Amino acid sequence: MRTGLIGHVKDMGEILVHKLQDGRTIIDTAAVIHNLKDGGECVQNDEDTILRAALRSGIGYSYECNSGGCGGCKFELVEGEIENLWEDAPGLTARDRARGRHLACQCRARGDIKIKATTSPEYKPIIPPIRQKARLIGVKDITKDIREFRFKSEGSANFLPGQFAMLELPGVGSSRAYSMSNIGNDENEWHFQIRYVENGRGTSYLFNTLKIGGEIEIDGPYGLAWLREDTQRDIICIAGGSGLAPMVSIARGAANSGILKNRKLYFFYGARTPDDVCGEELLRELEMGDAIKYIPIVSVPGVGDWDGETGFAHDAVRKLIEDDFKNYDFYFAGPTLMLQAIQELLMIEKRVPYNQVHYDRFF
Amino acid sequence: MAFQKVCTLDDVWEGEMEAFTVDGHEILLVCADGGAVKAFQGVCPHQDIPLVEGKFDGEKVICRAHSWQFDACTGKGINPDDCALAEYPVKVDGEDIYVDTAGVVPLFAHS
Repeated sequence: MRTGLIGHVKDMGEILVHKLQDGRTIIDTAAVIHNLKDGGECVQNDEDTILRAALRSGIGYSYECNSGGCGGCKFELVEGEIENLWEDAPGLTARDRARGRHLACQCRARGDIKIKATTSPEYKPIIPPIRQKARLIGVKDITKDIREFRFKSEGSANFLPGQFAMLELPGVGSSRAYSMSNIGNDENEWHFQIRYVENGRGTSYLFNTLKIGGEIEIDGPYGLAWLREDTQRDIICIAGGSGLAPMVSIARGAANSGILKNRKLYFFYGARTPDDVCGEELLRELEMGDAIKYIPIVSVPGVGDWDGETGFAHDAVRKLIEDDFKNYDFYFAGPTLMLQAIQELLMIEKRVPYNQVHYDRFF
Repeated sequence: MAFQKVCTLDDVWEGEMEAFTVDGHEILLVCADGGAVKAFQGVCPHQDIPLVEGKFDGEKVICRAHSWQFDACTGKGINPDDCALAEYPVKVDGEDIYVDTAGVVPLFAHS
């Protein structure tokens, strides 16, 4: 443990000598990150970024996607050197760059640093993420381009319904964030439902290269859009495309926890065509009867015999939920434009309290 | 610190917002429907997102990240309603807009 760290006796570039309170001296590549905004401190080890180091230490560092897209983990560097893993990350605007901001999810400290960063109890990880090896133990096609991948990790599969993990895939370079579709379990299983991306290096590796028994690394859990069990409100899940997995996890978590005995869960799934519709069978397996209502919506119904909802998912939610939106807890996941439309519907048009609106913005 | 000139009325028309840095303070000037010019903290109290990158509909400033909304006349949070933007005193002299940053500290989220 490095909690006894009291300071450095000598700075040797990236290799640091730490003197611990018990008198021992250790030499390694760890770096101490000191946040001047809240006085907090954590140690960055191994391959961690500043954000992962903070969350691993249990610090409530502001973040969302952990992938360089959302801009939620911005910080100001006050002292020391950093290494930027992705200079052009879209999470920073031109204005942010002019303000001297960096993304904690894309930067590593090179030696000790001092930063100013936002922390808050709402970001404090309930289960701090851990990095561990995992093997592929099974695959199953869900639609023509969404496939379920099941991994078994060396250690525990400890996460909350709706959370995601970072998959470290050999040769792919940067890590990929995917949501789990199952719930935390003692069998050490992590299930992901991943949509194939044309020319995507991550999905190409998963779909075409990785074989059963193949090893990757899983670092998790991450994410703030986890199931809240301590309310009495009915639940509305809205998923689009590969947003299926975290919403299935929320439904499974709700079923497993017993809260659906006296609450209902509405599951909206927005797909492009009728062929892309999925999820109903997974929900039926939960045997929740009328407590779970599944509503598929397709944006391109085509010439077939589709007689369900058509258009955009957020329009279907607006149309079909007739009572006050403030009576529900909302969870949603999917493409950026869908998230933006749902967010505006809930936050601006319906004025749903923000603590009833749960999602992680990916780009 | 006294009032300092930030810009002129021509820089912030009715229904517009603009960002400025004054004494190291990031400030959002908004000119609400009706023409009153107000100055608020430039970043959302939630995450470190510049509000000028969001929307302004003449009544409320809407952060682009999570659609948090603030009353353009008072800075009070609309949704969520348990937060607010810190306000800076504004003085208009002729065509010139002045802001006083003394003692104003940006506010952070409700949690």
